[in-house]
Amino acid sequence: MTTSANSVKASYEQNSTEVSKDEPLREAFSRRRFVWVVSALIALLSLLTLASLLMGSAQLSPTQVYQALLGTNSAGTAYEVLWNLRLPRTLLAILVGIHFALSGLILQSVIRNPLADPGVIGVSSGASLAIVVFLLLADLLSKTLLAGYQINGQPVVLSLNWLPFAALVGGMLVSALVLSLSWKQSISPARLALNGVAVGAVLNAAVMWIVVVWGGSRTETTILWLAGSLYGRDFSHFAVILPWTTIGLTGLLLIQHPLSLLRFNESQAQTMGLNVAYWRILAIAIAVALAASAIAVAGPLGFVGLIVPHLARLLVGGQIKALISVCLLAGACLTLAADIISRTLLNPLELPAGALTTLIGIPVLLYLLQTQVNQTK
Amino acid sequence: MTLHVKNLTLSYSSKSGRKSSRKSGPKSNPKASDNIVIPQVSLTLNEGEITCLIGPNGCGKSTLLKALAGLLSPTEGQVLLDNKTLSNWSPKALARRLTLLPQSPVAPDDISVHQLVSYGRFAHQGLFGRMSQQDIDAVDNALNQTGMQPLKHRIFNTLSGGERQRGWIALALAQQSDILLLDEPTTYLDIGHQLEALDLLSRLNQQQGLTVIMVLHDINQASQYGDRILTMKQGRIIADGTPLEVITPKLMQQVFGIDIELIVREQGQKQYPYGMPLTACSA
Repeated sequence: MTTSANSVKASYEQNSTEVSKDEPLREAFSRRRFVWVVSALIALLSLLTLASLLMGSAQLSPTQVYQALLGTNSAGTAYEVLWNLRLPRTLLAILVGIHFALSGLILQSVIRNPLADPGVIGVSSGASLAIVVFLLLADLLSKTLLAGYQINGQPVVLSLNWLPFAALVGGMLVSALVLSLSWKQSISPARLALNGVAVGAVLNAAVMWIVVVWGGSRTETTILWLAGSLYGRDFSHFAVILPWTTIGLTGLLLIQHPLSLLRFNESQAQTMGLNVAYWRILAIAIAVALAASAIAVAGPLGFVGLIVPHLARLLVGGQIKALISVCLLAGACLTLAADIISRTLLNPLELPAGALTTLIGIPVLLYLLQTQVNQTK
Repeated sequence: MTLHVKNLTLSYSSKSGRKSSRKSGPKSNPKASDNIVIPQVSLTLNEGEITCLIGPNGCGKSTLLKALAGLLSPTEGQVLLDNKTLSNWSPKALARRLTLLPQSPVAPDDISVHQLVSYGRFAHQGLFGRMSQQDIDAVDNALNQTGMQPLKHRIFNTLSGGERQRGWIALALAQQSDILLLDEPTTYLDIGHQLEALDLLSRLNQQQGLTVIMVLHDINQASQYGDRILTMKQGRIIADGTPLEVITPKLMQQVFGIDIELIVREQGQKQYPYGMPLTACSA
């Protein structure tokens, strides 16, 4: 009996070596490839940043931009344009891209569904509803309650500077609602996705209803905001998002290792020693913070959170640590490129950047998916 | 270091509570009474033994195994490791003592075999998952034991079913728990790979004192590799003993409804029964 067992084993070993010789070796994504991809993305991001500072409706020479950046020439249009328009806008595009991409990466990992993005947990619809309600209230208030008041001869109005905060609060409240609906001793990913989509559909209907019925002067603002854009953003918006970038990135650093295991099914992750209930909720909270703050300043930029994690996975494979760096860089590149095109393509008209992230991102994603299919054939 | 099961009752509705099973205490749930899978079980699983669970489909083997791994919170009763209820263990501490290989696990896309097996070290690592020399050695050892070393750079999900199953076993080995629970570890494997996997478990049991508790479909493999066989039917353990005591024509007829011809085989000093299936009996 022992001998027969040994011979079985011996023949098996022979087989296995034969198999690995005959089959083309599909090597996993190597360290070298990761370094290459990251360097390329850093170079691309630097180029895009330069382009973003140099291009726009106002014609500025590189010297003017350079001088304005260093502050040697703090008078004149160049300084104004750079510090009030182009620089904050560039930085915002980068941060917003990072936020959406990382939020998408976290949600796809936790919900274990490749179609997950910040829209799935109700952040986008919550923020949209908050924006619409805010604009409606602002109009109503200025017509009724605040109609008689004036400060320094100016009519008192609800400042649009509060818009990002309204969006932030709306996004977080609705995702909290979706999370609590999906809570039964712990978060069930499937239920979370379904609840998020259902709640999102109801809220989007409410948004459309308000926009259509109420219409009026604010419709354009609303539509532009709902499409996602970085038009007219300045350093005050940057101040809104920056604290959340810090919180989000620190949080992600802390959960990166547990996040790798959250991609397994629950029993598997638990038997490997992961407190699934705890890390799952923490990871989702970080994703919500990242997405809600980005939506608050730029609106729901189309599909960045969906596309970028897939791009990253196709470029460097499925290890979370590699994915985080690549998502961060690729997300920044995608939104920045979309924003540059949005304001230069039909100059001086502005296209919504949200439409362009989709227009750029989807073909790239499809191309990569296609090449991957060909490789595995 | 033994695993004790005291008056354990498991029901379907406690499955929905498995997420927090390692947190919530064993509370009785009156609503669950109609969905009981396992009415009441008490047993002690010994250190350093290979215990096999056999029984017909749907008899509650997998459910019991999950409860032993702390993945199901009991409706009543408790599972104790070192006289401490499983729910009172911290997840990482428990994972260093015992681990379960589920029936058909799924791996994330686009990770290599080496990366997958490295995740087995989670319970031994700090928050940031830095690999210590000990971790590297454990992963290396697990890859060698399962013959996965040559495949370690391959994308896991592109491997064949048999290779993947060996990868999962490597993952469980990398975890270095002293109790290994397996739910049908031979599924997807051809006969050569089946014996190879079971030989590996048997070797680890003899050389390193690994305690193995596994659900097996093949009564003769249970008989060949098990020190002890638990036979279940409709949620109850109806036989518990050495292979010679359990694999009998009468019991097999009672449990599986089959007629067998019994042959006693010898391997070294060990005697074990081989039940050759004849027909499914009409009664």
